[in-house]
Amino acid sequence: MAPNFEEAPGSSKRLKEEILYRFHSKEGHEFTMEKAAAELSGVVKQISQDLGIDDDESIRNMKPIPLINVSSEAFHYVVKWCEQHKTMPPWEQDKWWLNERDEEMKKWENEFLGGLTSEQLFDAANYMDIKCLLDKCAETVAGMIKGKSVEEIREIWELENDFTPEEEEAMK
Amino acid sequence: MTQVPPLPVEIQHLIMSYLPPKSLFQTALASRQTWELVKNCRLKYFEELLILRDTSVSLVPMASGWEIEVLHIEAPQTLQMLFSHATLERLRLGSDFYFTGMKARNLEIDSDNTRPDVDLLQIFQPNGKYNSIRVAGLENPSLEFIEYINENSRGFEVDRVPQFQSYLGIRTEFLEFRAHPDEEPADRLPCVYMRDWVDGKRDFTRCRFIGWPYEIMMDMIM
Repeated sequence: MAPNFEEAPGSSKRLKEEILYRFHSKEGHEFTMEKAAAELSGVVKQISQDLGIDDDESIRNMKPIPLINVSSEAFHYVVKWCEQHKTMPPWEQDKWWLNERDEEMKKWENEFLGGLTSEQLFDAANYMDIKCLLDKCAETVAGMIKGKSVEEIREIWELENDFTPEEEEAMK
Repeated sequence: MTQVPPLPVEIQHLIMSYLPPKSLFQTALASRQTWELVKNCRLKYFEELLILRDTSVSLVPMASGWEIEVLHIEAPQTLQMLFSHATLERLRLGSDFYFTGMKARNLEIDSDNTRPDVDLLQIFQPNGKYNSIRVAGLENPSLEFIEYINENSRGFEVDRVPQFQSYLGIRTEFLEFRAHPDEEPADRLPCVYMRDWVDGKRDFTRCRFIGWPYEIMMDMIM
Protein backbone atom coordinates (compact mmCIF):
# COMPACT_ATOMS: atom_id res chain seq x y z
CA MET A 1 0.00 0.00 0.00
CA ALA A 2 1.36 3.43 -0.87
CA PRO A 3 2.29 5.58 2.11
CA ASN A 4 -0.07 8.31 3.23
CA PHE A 5 2.10 11.33 2.69
CA GLU A 6 -0.21 13.62 4.63
CA GLU A 7 0.49 11.70 7.83
CA ALA A 8 4.01 10.62 7.09
CA PRO A 9 6.88 11.64 9.34
CA GLY A 10 8.01 14.09 6.71
CA SER A 11 4.65 15.61 5.99
CA SER A 12 4.29 19.34 6.37
CA LYS A 13 1.89 18.90 9.31
CA ARG A 14 4.51 19.09 11.99
CA LEU A 15 5.09 21.09 15.08
CA LYS A 16 6.00 24.65 14.39
CA GLU A 17 8.64 24.66 17.15
CA GLU A 18 10.88 22.28 15.32
CA ILE A 19 13.53 23.62 13.00
CA LEU A 20 12.40 22.13 9.76
CA TYR A 21 13.65 22.15 6.25
CA ARG A 22 10.95 22.01 3.62
CA PHE A 23 11.16 20.03 0.41
CA HIS A 24 9.13 19.54 -2.72
CA SER A 25 9.15 16.08 -4.19
CA LYS A 26 9.07 15.32 -7.88
CA GLU A 27 5.27 15.10 -7.72
CA GLY A 28 5.01 18.41 -5.90
CA HIS A 29 4.22 17.07 -2.44
CA GLU A 30 5.63 19.17 0.34
CA PHE A 31 7.69 17.40 2.98
CA THR A 32 9.53 18.63 5.99
CA MET A 33 12.50 17.24 7.76
CA GLU A 34 13.98 18.19 11.07
CA LYS A 35 17.24 20.10 10.78
CA ALA A 36 19.59 17.47 12.16
CA ALA A 37 18.00 14.81 9.99
CA ALA A 38 17.98 16.92 6.83
CA GLU A 39 21.60 17.82 7.25
CA LEU A 40 22.57 14.20 6.81
CA SER A 41 22.11 15.10 3.17
CA GLY A 42 25.14 16.55 1.51
CA VAL A 43 22.90 18.34 -0.94
CA VAL A 44 20.95 20.08 1.80
CA LYS A 45 24.12 21.19 3.48
CA GLN A 46 25.52 22.46 0.21
CA ILE A 47 22.39 24.36 -0.68
CA SER A 48 22.25 25.92 2.76
CA GLN A 49 25.84 26.94 2.47
CA ASP A 50 25.37 28.39 -1.00
CA LEU A 51 22.37 30.38 0.17
CA GLY A 52 24.10 31.60 3.28
CA ILE A 53 21.61 29.82 5.55
CA ASP A 54 23.40 29.68 8.84
CA ASP A 55 20.77 30.08 11.56
CA ASP A 56 17.50 28.52 12.54
CA GLU A 57 15.41 31.50 11.53
CA SER A 58 16.85 31.40 8.03
CA ILE A 59 15.91 27.76 7.77
CA ARG A 60 12.36 28.52 8.86
CA ASN A 61 12.11 31.23 6.23
CA MET A 62 13.68 29.17 3.50
CA LYS A 63 11.62 28.20 0.51
CA PRO A 64 11.07 24.48 -0.04
CA ILE A 65 14.04 22.79 -1.66
CA PRO A 66 12.87 21.28 -4.94
CA LEU A 67 13.98 17.67 -5.29
CA ILE A 68 13.01 17.14 -8.87
CA ASN A 69 14.53 13.68 -9.05
CA VAL A 70 13.08 12.31 -5.82
CA SER A 71 9.63 10.80 -5.79
CA SER A 72 7.27 11.30 -2.88
CA GLU A 73 7.40 7.61 -2.09
CA ALA A 74 11.20 7.56 -2.00
CA PHE A 75 11.33 10.75 0.01
CA HIS A 76 8.94 9.31 2.54
CA TYR A 77 11.50 6.60 3.24
CA VAL A 78 14.39 9.01 3.12
CA VAL A 79 12.76 11.05 5.86
CA LYS A 80 12.24 7.97 7.98
CA TRP A 81 15.86 6.98 7.55
CA CYS A 82 17.22 10.41 8.33
CA GLU A 83 15.05 10.86 11.39
CA GLN A 84 16.34 7.57 12.70
CA HIS A 85 19.95 8.51 12.05
CA LYS A 86 19.98 12.17 12.98
CA THR A 87 21.89 11.61 16.21
CA MET A 88 24.54 9.42 14.63
CA PRO A 89 28.10 10.79 14.42
CA PRO A 90 28.99 12.32 11.06
CA TRP A 91 29.61 9.77 8.36
CA GLU A 92 33.26 9.03 7.77
CA GLN A 93 33.79 8.31 4.11
CA ASP A 94 37.38 7.21 4.31
CA LYS A 95 37.50 5.93 7.87
CA TRP A 96 34.58 3.63 7.32
CA TRP A 97 35.25 1.59 10.42
CA LEU A 98 34.16 4.56 12.51
CA ASN A 99 30.66 4.22 11.08
CA GLU A 100 29.87 1.10 13.00
CA ARG A 101 26.27 1.06 14.24
CA ASP A 102 25.10 -0.64 17.37
CA GLU A 103 23.07 -3.83 17.14
CA GLU A 104 19.77 -2.09 17.65
CA MET A 105 20.43 0.30 14.79
CA LYS A 106 21.65 -2.49 12.54
CA LYS A 107 18.45 -4.40 13.21
CA TRP A 108 16.37 -1.34 12.44
CA GLU A 109 18.26 -0.71 9.21
CA ASN A 110 17.94 -4.27 8.04
CA GLU A 111 14.24 -4.34 8.73
CA PHE A 112 13.79 -0.97 7.11
CA LEU A 113 15.56 -1.82 3.88
CA GLY A 114 14.58 -5.46 3.87
CA GLY A 115 10.93 -4.55 3.56
CA LEU A 116 11.40 -2.07 0.78
CA THR A 117 10.50 -2.67 -2.80
CA SER A 118 11.34 0.82 -3.95
CA GLU A 119 14.36 0.97 -6.19
CA GLN A 120 14.00 4.72 -6.12
CA LEU A 121 15.44 4.87 -2.65
CA PHE A 122 18.92 4.18 -3.95
CA ASP A 123 18.56 6.96 -6.48
CA ALA A 124 17.21 9.30 -3.84
CA ALA A 125 20.07 8.57 -1.47
CA ASN A 126 22.48 9.19 -4.28
CA TYR A 127 20.78 12.35 -5.48
CA MET A 128 20.55 13.78 -1.98
CA ASP A 129 24.02 12.56 -1.12
CA ILE A 130 23.04 10.78 2.08
CA LYS A 131 26.14 8.72 2.65
CA CYS A 132 24.90 6.44 5.39
CA LEU A 133 21.79 5.49 3.42
CA LEU A 134 23.72 5.09 0.23
CA ASP A 135 26.18 2.80 1.92
CA LYS A 136 23.42 0.69 3.44
CA CYS A 137 21.65 0.47 0.08
CA ALA A 138 24.89 -0.73 -1.48
CA GLU A 139 25.29 -3.35 1.20
CA THR A 140 21.72 -4.46 0.65
CA VAL A 141 22.16 -4.77 -3.09
CA ALA A 142 25.41 -6.65 -2.56
CA GLY A 143 23.44 -9.03 -0.37
CA MET A 144 21.21 -9.74 -3.34
CA ILE A 145 24.20 -10.76 -5.40
CA LYS A 146 26.00 -12.89 -2.86
CA GLY A 147 25.93 -16.56 -3.68
CA LYS A 148 24.31 -16.04 -7.08
CA SER A 149 25.48 -17.66 -10.27
CA VAL A 150 26.70 -15.62 -13.21
CA GLU A 151 23.38 -16.12 -14.94
CA GLU A 152 21.42 -15.00 -11.91
CA ILE A 153 23.62 -11.95 -11.56
CA ARG A 154 22.94 -11.05 -15.18
CA GLU A 155 19.25 -11.22 -14.42
CA ILE A 156 19.51 -9.03 -11.34
CA TRP A 157 21.60 -6.42 -13.11
CA GLU A 158 19.73 -6.80 -16.38
CA LEU A 159 22.95 -7.52 -18.20
CA GLU A 160 23.62 -9.19 -21.48
CA ASN A 161 26.51 -11.52 -21.86
CA ASP A 162 28.65 -9.60 -24.30
CA PHE A 163 31.77 -11.70 -24.05
CA THR A 164 32.85 -13.60 -27.08
CA PRO A 165 32.96 -17.40 -26.76
CA GLU A 166 36.75 -17.19 -26.94
CA GLU A 167 36.87 -14.73 -24.07
CA GLU A 168 34.54 -16.85 -22.00
CA GLU A 169 36.73 -19.83 -22.61
CA ALA A 170 39.82 -17.89 -21.58
CA MET A 171 38.16 -16.85 -18.32
CA LYS A 172 37.31 -20.34 -17.26
CA MET B 1 14.56 -4.91 -4.52
CA THR B 2 14.64 -7.51 -7.19
CA GLN B 3 16.67 -5.73 -9.78
CA VAL B 4 19.40 -3.21 -9.52
CA PRO B 5 18.48 0.12 -11.07
CA PRO B 6 20.94 1.86 -13.36
CA LEU B 7 23.39 3.55 -11.08
CA PRO B 8 26.44 5.74 -11.44
CA VAL B 9 29.72 3.91 -11.62
CA GLU B 10 30.88 5.06 -8.24
CA ILE B 11 27.74 3.64 -6.66
CA GLN B 12 28.25 0.38 -8.46
CA HIS B 13 31.75 0.34 -7.06
CA LEU B 14 30.29 0.85 -3.64
CA ILE B 15 28.09 -2.18 -4.13
CA MET B 16 30.99 -4.24 -5.37
CA SER B 17 33.00 -3.29 -2.36
CA TYR B 18 30.62 -5.27 -0.20
CA LEU B 19 30.91 -8.47 -2.20
CA PRO B 20 33.00 -11.38 -1.01
CA PRO B 21 35.54 -12.60 -3.54
CA LYS B 22 33.55 -15.39 -5.09
CA SER B 23 30.54 -13.19 -5.75
CA LEU B 24 32.83 -10.53 -7.05
CA PHE B 25 34.30 -12.90 -9.57
CA GLN B 26 30.90 -14.15 -10.59
CA THR B 27 29.81 -10.57 -11.06
CA ALA B 28 32.84 -9.75 -13.14
CA LEU B 29 32.07 -12.64 -15.43
CA ALA B 30 28.58 -11.39 -16.14
CA SER B 31 29.51 -8.80 -18.75
CA ARG B 32 32.20 -6.48 -19.97
CA GLN B 33 30.68 -3.71 -17.93
CA THR B 34 30.88 -5.61 -14.67
CA TRP B 35 34.31 -6.87 -15.58
CA GLU B 36 35.51 -3.29 -15.71
CA LEU B 37 33.67 -2.44 -12.53
CA VAL B 38 35.20 -5.24 -10.58
CA LYS B 39 38.59 -4.53 -11.98
CA ASN B 40 38.55 -1.08 -10.52
CA CYS B 41 36.88 -1.48 -7.20
CA ARG B 42 38.24 -1.64 -3.71
CA LEU B 43 37.62 -4.79 -1.84
CA LYS B 44 36.06 -3.54 1.32
CA TYR B 45 35.10 -7.07 2.20
CA PHE B 46 38.70 -8.00 2.74
CA GLU B 47 39.34 -4.96 4.77
CA GLU B 48 36.31 -5.46 6.95
CA LEU B 49 37.07 -9.06 7.50
CA LEU B 50 40.45 -8.29 8.90
CA ILE B 51 39.82 -4.79 10.09
CA LEU B 52 42.72 -3.61 8.08
CA ARG B 53 43.03 0.09 7.92
CA ASP B 54 45.44 0.65 5.14
CA THR B 55 45.28 -2.38 2.98
CA SER B 56 44.85 -1.85 -0.66
CA VAL B 57 44.02 -4.72 -2.90
CA SER B 58 42.51 -4.77 -6.32
CA LEU B 59 41.39 -7.40 -8.69
CA VAL B 60 43.25 -7.81 -11.89
CA PRO B 61 41.38 -9.94 -14.35
CA MET B 62 43.87 -11.58 -16.66
CA ALA B 63 43.29 -13.34 -19.89
CA SER B 64 44.64 -16.47 -18.33
CA GLY B 65 42.69 -16.23 -15.10
CA TRP B 66 42.25 -14.12 -12.04
CA GLU B 67 44.78 -12.35 -10.00
CA ILE B 68 44.54 -10.19 -6.97
CA GLU B 69 47.14 -7.56 -6.91
CA VAL B 70 48.08 -6.75 -3.38
CA LEU B 71 49.32 -3.24 -3.34
CA HIS B 72 49.89 -2.86 0.31
CA ILE B 73 49.21 -4.92 3.36
CA GLU B 74 49.55 -3.87 6.90
CA ALA B 75 48.62 -7.10 8.59
CA PRO B 76 49.99 -10.47 7.62
CA GLN B 77 46.69 -12.20 8.16
CA THR B 78 45.50 -10.67 4.94
CA LEU B 79 47.41 -13.11 2.85
CA GLN B 80 46.09 -16.01 4.82
CA MET B 81 42.62 -14.69 4.35
CA LEU B 82 43.13 -14.18 0.66
CA PHE B 83 44.15 -17.76 0.33
CA SER B 84 41.38 -19.11 2.43
CA HIS B 85 38.75 -17.24 0.48
CA ALA B 86 40.20 -17.06 -2.92
CA THR B 87 38.97 -18.94 -5.87
CA LEU B 88 41.84 -17.46 -7.71
CA GLU B 89 44.30 -19.18 -9.85
CA ARG B 90 47.11 -17.31 -8.30
CA LEU B 91 47.89 -14.40 -6.19
CA ARG B 92 50.27 -11.73 -7.26
CA LEU B 93 51.96 -9.34 -4.97
CA GLY B 94 52.22 -5.76 -5.99
CA SER B 95 55.45 -4.51 -7.37
CA ASP B 96 56.14 -2.37 -4.34
CA PHE B 97 56.78 -5.47 -2.37
CA TYR B 98 57.60 -8.73 -3.86
CA PHE B 99 59.90 -11.50 -3.17
CA THR B 100 61.07 -13.19 -6.24
CA GLY B 101 61.20 -16.90 -6.31
CA MET B 102 58.77 -17.28 -3.47
CA LYS B 103 55.88 -15.86 -5.33
CA ALA B 104 56.64 -17.89 -8.36
CA ARG B 105 55.51 -20.97 -6.63
CA ASN B 106 54.61 -20.72 -3.02
CA LEU B 107 52.18 -17.96 -3.55
CA GLU B 108 50.36 -19.80 -6.21
CA ILE B 109 47.28 -21.63 -5.23
CA ASP B 110 45.01 -23.96 -6.99
CA SER B 111 41.79 -22.55 -8.23
CA ASP B 112 39.88 -24.80 -5.88
CA ASN B 113 42.27 -24.14 -3.03
CA THR B 114 42.92 -27.80 -2.47
CA ARG B 115 46.60 -27.47 -1.86
CA PRO B 116 46.80 -25.72 1.45
CA ASP B 117 50.04 -27.31 2.46
CA VAL B 118 52.26 -25.49 0.01
CA ASP B 119 50.63 -22.20 0.05
CA LEU B 120 51.95 -19.40 1.95
CA LEU B 121 55.15 -17.73 2.76
CA GLN B 122 55.20 -14.30 4.23
CA ILE B 123 58.05 -12.02 4.93
CA PHE B 124 57.93 -9.56 7.74
CA GLN B 125 59.98 -6.68 8.73
CA PRO B 126 59.02 -5.97 12.29
CA ASN B 127 60.79 -2.79 13.12
CA GLY B 128 63.33 -2.09 10.47
CA LYS B 129 66.12 -3.73 12.38
CA TYR B 130 65.55 -7.31 11.48
CA ASN B 131 63.35 -9.54 9.47
CA SER B 132 61.17 -12.49 10.08
CA ILE B 133 59.67 -15.07 7.88
CA ARG B 134 56.46 -16.70 8.76
CA VAL B 135 55.27 -19.81 7.10
CA ALA B 136 51.63 -20.44 7.64
CA GLY B 137 49.07 -22.80 6.30
CA LEU B 138 51.32 -25.80 6.47
CA GLU B 139 49.59 -28.81 7.87
CA ASN B 140 52.75 -30.71 7.28
CA PRO B 141 55.59 -29.15 5.39
CA SER B 142 55.98 -31.20 2.31
CA LEU B 143 59.38 -32.26 1.15
CA GLU B 144 58.70 -30.35 -2.01
CA PHE B 145 58.18 -27.21 -0.03
CA ILE B 146 61.30 -27.64 2.03
CA GLU B 147 63.34 -28.32 -1.04
CA TYR B 148 61.95 -25.24 -2.61
CA ILE B 149 62.90 -23.13 0.39
CA ASN B 150 66.35 -24.58 0.31
CA GLU B 151 66.74 -23.88 -3.36
CA ASN B 152 65.64 -20.32 -3.01
CA SER B 153 66.93 -19.23 0.30
CA ARG B 154 70.60 -18.93 -0.51
CA GLY B 155 72.14 -20.95 2.17
CA PHE B 156 69.32 -21.59 4.56
CA GLU B 157 68.79 -25.17 5.34
CA VAL B 158 65.38 -26.42 6.15
CA ASP B 159 64.92 -29.75 7.78
CA ARG B 160 61.76 -31.54 8.42
CA VAL B 161 61.50 -32.30 12.07
CA PRO B 162 58.91 -34.30 13.95
CA GLN B 163 57.55 -31.48 16.00
CA PHE B 164 57.07 -29.00 13.30
CA GLN B 165 54.66 -26.92 15.32
CA SER B 166 57.38 -25.86 17.65
CA TYR B 167 60.48 -26.06 15.58
CA LEU B 168 61.21 -26.23 11.92
CA GLY B 169 64.94 -26.22 12.13
CA ILE B 170 66.45 -23.62 9.95
CA ARG B 171 69.69 -22.55 11.44
CA THR B 172 72.33 -20.19 10.39
CA GLU B 173 74.58 -18.05 12.40
CA PHE B 174 71.90 -15.45 12.78
CA LEU B 175 68.62 -17.08 12.19
CA GLU B 176 66.40 -19.86 13.16
CA PHE B 177 62.90 -20.88 12.39
CA ARG B 178 60.57 -21.75 15.13
CA ALA B 179 57.05 -21.23 16.27
CA HIS B 180 56.17 -17.89 17.66
CA PRO B 181 55.87 -18.33 21.41
CA ASP B 182 53.17 -15.78 21.99
CA GLU B 183 50.78 -16.04 19.16
CA GLU B 184 48.45 -18.75 17.98
CA PRO B 185 47.65 -18.59 14.31
CA ALA B 186 44.04 -17.88 13.70
CA ASP B 187 43.43 -21.08 11.82
CA ARG B 188 45.40 -23.16 14.32
CA LEU B 189 47.67 -24.47 11.63
CA PRO B 190 51.36 -24.63 12.35
CA CYS B 191 52.95 -21.31 12.13
CA VAL B 192 56.62 -20.71 11.83
CA TYR B 193 58.61 -17.63 12.44
CA MET B 194 62.15 -16.90 11.62
CA ARG B 195 63.80 -14.79 14.19
CA ASP B 196 67.22 -13.39 14.32
CA TRP B 197 69.67 -11.99 16.76
CA VAL B 198 69.40 -8.35 17.59
CA ASP B 199 72.22 -6.95 19.64
CA GLY B 200 73.04 -10.38 20.86
CA LYS B 201 69.52 -11.10 22.06
CA ARG B 202 66.79 -13.14 20.57
CA ASP B 203 63.63 -11.20 20.24
CA PHE B 204 60.14 -12.00 19.09
CA THR B 205 58.63 -8.72 18.29
CA ARG B 206 55.24 -8.84 16.75
CA CYS B 207 55.82 -8.86 13.05
CA ARG B 208 54.54 -6.40 10.60
CA PHE B 209 54.40 -7.29 6.97
CA ILE B 210 55.69 -4.67 4.64
CA GLY B 211 56.86 -6.83 1.81
CA TRP B 212 60.55 -6.61 2.08
CA PRO B 213 62.13 -7.32 -1.28
CA TYR B 214 63.52 -10.76 -1.06
CA GLU B 215 66.91 -10.05 -2.51
CA ILE B 216 67.53 -7.12 -0.23
CA MET B 217 66.42 -9.01 2.78
CA MET B 218 68.70 -11.87 2.00
CA ASP B 219 71.59 -9.50 1.50
CA MET B 220 70.90 -7.98 4.86
CA ILE B 221 70.62 -11.07 6.87
CA MET B 222 73.12 -13.33 5.24
